This record gives sequence, structure tokens and C-alpha cells, in this order.
Amino acid sequence: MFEELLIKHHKMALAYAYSLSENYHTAQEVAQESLMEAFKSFDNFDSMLGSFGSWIRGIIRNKYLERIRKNREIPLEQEIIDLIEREYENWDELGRNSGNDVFGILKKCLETLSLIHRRIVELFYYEKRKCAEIAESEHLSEPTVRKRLERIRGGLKACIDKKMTGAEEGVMEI
Amino acid sequence: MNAGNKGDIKNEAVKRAFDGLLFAHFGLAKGGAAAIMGQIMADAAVCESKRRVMEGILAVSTGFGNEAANSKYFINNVMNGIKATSLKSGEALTDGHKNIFAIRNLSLAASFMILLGVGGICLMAHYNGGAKGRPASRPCLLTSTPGGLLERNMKRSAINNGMQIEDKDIIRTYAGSCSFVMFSDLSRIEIGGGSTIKFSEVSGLNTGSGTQPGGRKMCLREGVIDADILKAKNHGVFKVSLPGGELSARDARFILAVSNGSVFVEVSCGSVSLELADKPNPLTIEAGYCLVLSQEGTSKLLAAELSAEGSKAGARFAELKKQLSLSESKYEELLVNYQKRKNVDICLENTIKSIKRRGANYS
Repeated sequence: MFEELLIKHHKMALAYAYSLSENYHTAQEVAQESLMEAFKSFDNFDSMLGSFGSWIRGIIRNKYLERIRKNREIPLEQEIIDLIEREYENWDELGRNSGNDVFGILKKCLETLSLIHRRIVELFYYEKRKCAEIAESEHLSEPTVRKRLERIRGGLKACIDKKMTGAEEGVMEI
Repeated sequence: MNAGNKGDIKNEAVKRAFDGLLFAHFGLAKGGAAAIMGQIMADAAVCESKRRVMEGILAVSTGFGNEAANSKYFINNVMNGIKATSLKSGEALTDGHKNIFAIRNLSLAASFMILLGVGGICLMAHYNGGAKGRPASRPCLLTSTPGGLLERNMKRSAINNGMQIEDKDIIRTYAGSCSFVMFSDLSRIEIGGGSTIKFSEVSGLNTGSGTQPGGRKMCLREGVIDADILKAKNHGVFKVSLPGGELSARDARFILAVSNGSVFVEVSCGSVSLELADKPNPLTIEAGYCLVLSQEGTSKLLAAELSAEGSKAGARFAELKKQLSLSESKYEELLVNYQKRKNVDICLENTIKSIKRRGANYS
């Protein structure tokens, strides 16, 4: 039972942890610790009170804040944490209703990107190049690359939201 | 006027100046400025949260750029962690998982029997005089920054500091991370980021007459190591299998990098011997010399992802990669035993000059 839920939710847990920490190692550690914690207190989980996803996110949030306090780092503003939680909760709910998976939809949305935007995504997210390097290789200015990345993210978000709600099968507008 | 009043006045002045600024900018009454400011802050928070959400799912869907975050690996890691925690705390795994109490008891019994057996063998060896005067074998220990993986019997786990390396273990390090291996004779190697290394013979050999000190044989498939090998009587020669050859060292300090079949060796202390499959005699590279062997051309070398950030070896190799922009040679020995030098930079410079000079002939 737990393993099934783990397989279903681990990617979202990792993504959520990454959204909070913006650090790969921290995200992985926080997500891993949280899932282990979830296993230990799985008996306390009540599906009537909320979804498994939101329960896991609660644990991740606490683990993240605990870690921040321990390392005396500056925590993310509560307002931003709440908004991130709301976004994930929204996707979680839409996913439960429609049976859609965010990562599957993201893949589809990435396919609708224009060639130049796809190239930037590949260089930035897959090849882990810095904006300055992308700017140099693509003969663009660094602020242009940053702006395009911002637009791509916004466009992908809108595309995911549309597809999750089943509003349309449309192509991204960036 | 006391200090408190001065502070209040200053705060009020700053507030008013800011209100004035907003008023001028938005053309609004003072009362509206705070509302506008609140709206700006709220918008910024929304933007930031959306950016973070997208960064999160994009990072996961692109696998964080390496395989450490692969689904299977992550799930296995969590499940292993759960099992290990349960074993440690004595909790039984419930909820569809195996009850491990029986397994644990069996393991304890088996460990006890093994201890008895080992004790017996040691006593026998002691009375036979087999282990007399021979240093006890110490394990080959491993430490790592986050991002190091140990692959044992097809199972991967994150490296815990102080882990013992066994024969056939594979260590993988990812960009930015680095691992250290301390051999039983205190020789050590630093494994830079983006490396894959297989240890073929490192643990002590248990013979009837005592434990032989561990060997030091490994295979560097990809990546970079910075090795400090001591001369130890009871230890075998330090050997590293490379694409197209084998490197041997007994008392040397050197940097070795392998990238897409290309090899870079730089010796700073002692000497190393390099046996190449297509050369009848081994090459000896002494302190102050370096060697570059390129299998598929330097363009591949340039494209390789060898980012051992912070490690000396990685920085040097990165510098070399950056400057090797001419040659497209096919498994040619580009440089060996050029001008003896006192420091690494001269060697590097000579290497680059030489490659540039000879580049046209090899391209």
C-alpha cells in the first residue's frame, strides 16, 4: 500500500521539496527523510482529512523548516510557502479528478514549444548551462535569455493548468 | 530631544519620503500607497511561488541533470532507508511489507556463527604462527561529499562516510561532488565529480595463514582521480585499468583523467608506468611530465562533462579541455616526456604548445 503511494507521489514530493529549497541535494534529502517519516507514521494518515499528497507535503514542509532552523538559514516567506502549497494542491486535486499526471502533461507541453524555446530549455534544464553560457552560444544577451526562460516557465504553467482542467488541447502561447 | 525621539523622527521621515515617492509615481493619495505597496509585494510572492513551482517540476522531470534522482534509484533509496530504520529501531515492517523480525534473528544467529568461525581461524593462525609479524589488514575506507553513489551487487546507495569498499564495488560521483578513498597503507585517492570507478581488488585476502593486505586494483571508466600512492611493502602495485592500457604506480603522486576514451596523466611526484595495448614497451612518466592520449579526438574531450569543481585535478583538466581546441587525432600519443618542469603550469603550457604545433598534422 505505502509502496504504491510512494511510486505515485515521489516525483511530486521531490518537486515540492525542490520548490521550497531550490537545491537538488537538499530537496532529495528532505523528500527522502519525509517519505521515511511518512512511512513510520502511516497509521496516522486519515484519507478523510485530506489527500496523501497534501499529507506528504505537510511533512516535507515541516522537515524543510526544521532543516532551515537547524542550519540557521533564512527561511522562505510564509506567504510564498502557502502559495506554492496552493499550486501543488490545485494540481493534486485536478489530477485526482481527471486522472492526469502533471509530469506527463509537462512533457506534452514541452513538445509544443517553439524550436528556439525548446533549445533554451534543453540547454538550461537538461545540460545545466548557465544563462551567460546560453547567451553566448545562442548569440543572445543574458537578460534576453533570462526573460525567455521566465516566459517559457509562465507559458508551461499556463499550458499545464489548461490541460489539467481539460480546458483545451491548445498550443502554448509564449 | 532624546535618542528615542530622534529614531522615531527618522523612521517617520523615511516613511513619508517613501509614501511621497509612491504618491508621485502612482499619482495616488497617501492612503493608497500602502495598498499599492501591498499589492506589489503580493504580486512578487505570486510570481516567486509560480517560478519555484515550475522550477520544481522541471527539475524533477529533467532528472536534476543526473541519474541520482532517477525514480527507481530514489524509490529504492527510500525503501532501503525505511528497512534500515526499521532494523535499527527493532520495528516490524507492517502494511504489506515483510515482517523482518525472523530475518533479523536469523542474521544475528548467522553473524554469531561467523564470528565464532573467524575467531577460530584467527586462533588457529596464531598458534600456527601464520600471522606473526604481519600487519593486520585495515579496510579501504570511503568518504564523500553529497552526490556520491556506491554500487554493490547491482544495488546503489548513497555513500556514507566511513564505508568500507569491497571488491567489485563501483563508485559514481556526480558533478560538483567528490569522494575520497583511504587505502589500508594510508595511500589515498580523491575521485573528482562526474567519475565512475570500479574497484577490482581492494579488500584484504583471507588466507589460511592470516589476512593478506589489500590489493589496489581498479578501473577508471570516466572521470578524474588525484592519487597519492605510498610505497608499501606488503601491498601490491597500484594499478588502474584505462581505455587502451593500464597504469601502474608504486610511490607516486599523480592526476589521472579519462574522458570519452581519452586519457590525461600528470605526475607530480615519483613515477608511473603506462602500458598501452598498441605499444610493445611501457611508457614511464616521471615527476614533472604529463601525457595526453586522445582516442576520439579532442573535440570529444572538450565536450566531456568533467566538472570536479573545487578539485585541483578537475580545474587543471578543465583548463586543458578549454585550450585543446585544434586537434582531431585518432589515438595518437600527443605528448610525452617533453621539457622537465618545476611546476605543473609549465608542463601544461608545453603540452598545449605542442598540441597546437602538431595539431595540423594530427587533424
